[in-house]
Amino acid sequence: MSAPAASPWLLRFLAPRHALCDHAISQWHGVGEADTPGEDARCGMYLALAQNDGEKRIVAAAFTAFGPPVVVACADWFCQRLNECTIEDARSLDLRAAEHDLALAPEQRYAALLISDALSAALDNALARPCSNLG
Amino acid sequence: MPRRRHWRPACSTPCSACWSRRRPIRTPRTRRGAPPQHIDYAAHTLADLINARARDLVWTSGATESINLALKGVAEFAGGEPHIVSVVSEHSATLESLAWQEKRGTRVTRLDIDAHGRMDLDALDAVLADGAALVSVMHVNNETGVIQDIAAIGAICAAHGVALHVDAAQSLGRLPIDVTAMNIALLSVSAHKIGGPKGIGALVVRRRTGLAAQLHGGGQQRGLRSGTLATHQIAGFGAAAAHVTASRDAEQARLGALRDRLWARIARLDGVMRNGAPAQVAPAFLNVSVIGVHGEALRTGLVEGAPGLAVSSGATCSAASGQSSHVLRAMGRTPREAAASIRFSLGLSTDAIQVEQAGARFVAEVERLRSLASAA
Repeated sequence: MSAPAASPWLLRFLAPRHALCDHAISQWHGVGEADTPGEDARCGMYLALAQNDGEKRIVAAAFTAFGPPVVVACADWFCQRLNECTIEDARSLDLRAAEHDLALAPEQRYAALLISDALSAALDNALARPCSNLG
Repeated sequence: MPRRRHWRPACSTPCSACWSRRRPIRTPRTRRGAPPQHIDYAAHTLADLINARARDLVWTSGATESINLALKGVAEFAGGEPHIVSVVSEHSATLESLAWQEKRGTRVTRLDIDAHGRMDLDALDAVLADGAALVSVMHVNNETGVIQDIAAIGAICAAHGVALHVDAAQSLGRLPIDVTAMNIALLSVSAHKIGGPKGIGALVVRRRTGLAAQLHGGGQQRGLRSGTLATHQIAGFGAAAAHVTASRDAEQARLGALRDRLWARIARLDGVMRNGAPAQVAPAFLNVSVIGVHGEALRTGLVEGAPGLAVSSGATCSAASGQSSHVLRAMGRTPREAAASIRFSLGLSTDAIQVEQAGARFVAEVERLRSLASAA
């Protein structure tokens, strides 16, 4: 009898690829945080941007996360999706896609909202900085 | 899926080799040609282990039923609005039974515990001055392994003329139990905690203990628990009791040394706190709280990561509720500390290599989760 396949969110939790601690980048152009006290969860999003053809694009994204495993998994998923996104693209990332890809149960959906809030804060922070800082 | 190392013998132990490998269980025959007296043999073996009379045993389906029979049976026998005294750190089998009875008129006093998990004997003495039908205390806590001083508690109960019920599910086979010397009127035990089969337990009901039956029918077992006895289950319990009788002291010394080695490995981490004073914790238990990690993430990482460790928070029976340990919170841990707690319980199959591997795996997982949470 074969073992049941692990949930996508569990696999990401066990082996995230976009954690801040694993990044060589030391200077981030946008940083945002959010928390969900009811779940004792908090997240930080870190964005590195570059200016191409007059448009800001995310060239790297990383996260910090304290909370249940789905918070780590969602943060990692968002960071992967953010690569090469414009600010507008990043703002319109579909939460349902995260829920679908990670196979989140209804009671786990708060995690996607938490990361989305942290991302919004990071994008606001990035926009508030002068363009001269960008590579 | 890789096999997980079993670190939860306090939940349930693998069945002992002495009876689970289809070997015939050797029991004395009462007369030539008669069938083996499995039940008598098991009763005498178990009774000898706790210095009780075999005829005082009532076979049940497990410790939960034994506890319910003790608490409800004494309260019903006492009649009126009986008073039962217990402790906040009890197992849910006791707490839920008491809550159920409280709604039906039983007065319940729940004594606090100190930072080491021990109950205050002066507080017990004081509360018994008002009189009580029963005191119910867990010998070894299932989450922390903290040992209550049953001999002292029994002496206080005896001085006040109050019956004492002891939940010995975690202490049977681990610690010496003497129902006579400890003034224990009722004792709940379970087979699967000592390598016996699931689905069988017993309640020791000593002489002159008022108890009303909670299961009615054919009047078996002195009318205290009707129903045909499960001979095969009882035989398995007896075989497991015989096994622990022969090996208890040496095995507990071995487990205590391994437990201390595991703690020494884990204690190299900053922000790890041991729950329960070491001298007052049963040898097979190690419960730790970890600062800087989320409890659910830690448990999931340990259990689902590679190599997997089959650990729990200790509050195994109530883990589904998603609440942090009521025992650790009663000992003064914050909700976050209580949630980020792990219980290691060691058993027959635990060896030094496993301890080293488990310690290294635990340290690595805590460091991983702290790194994920750190912005520094």
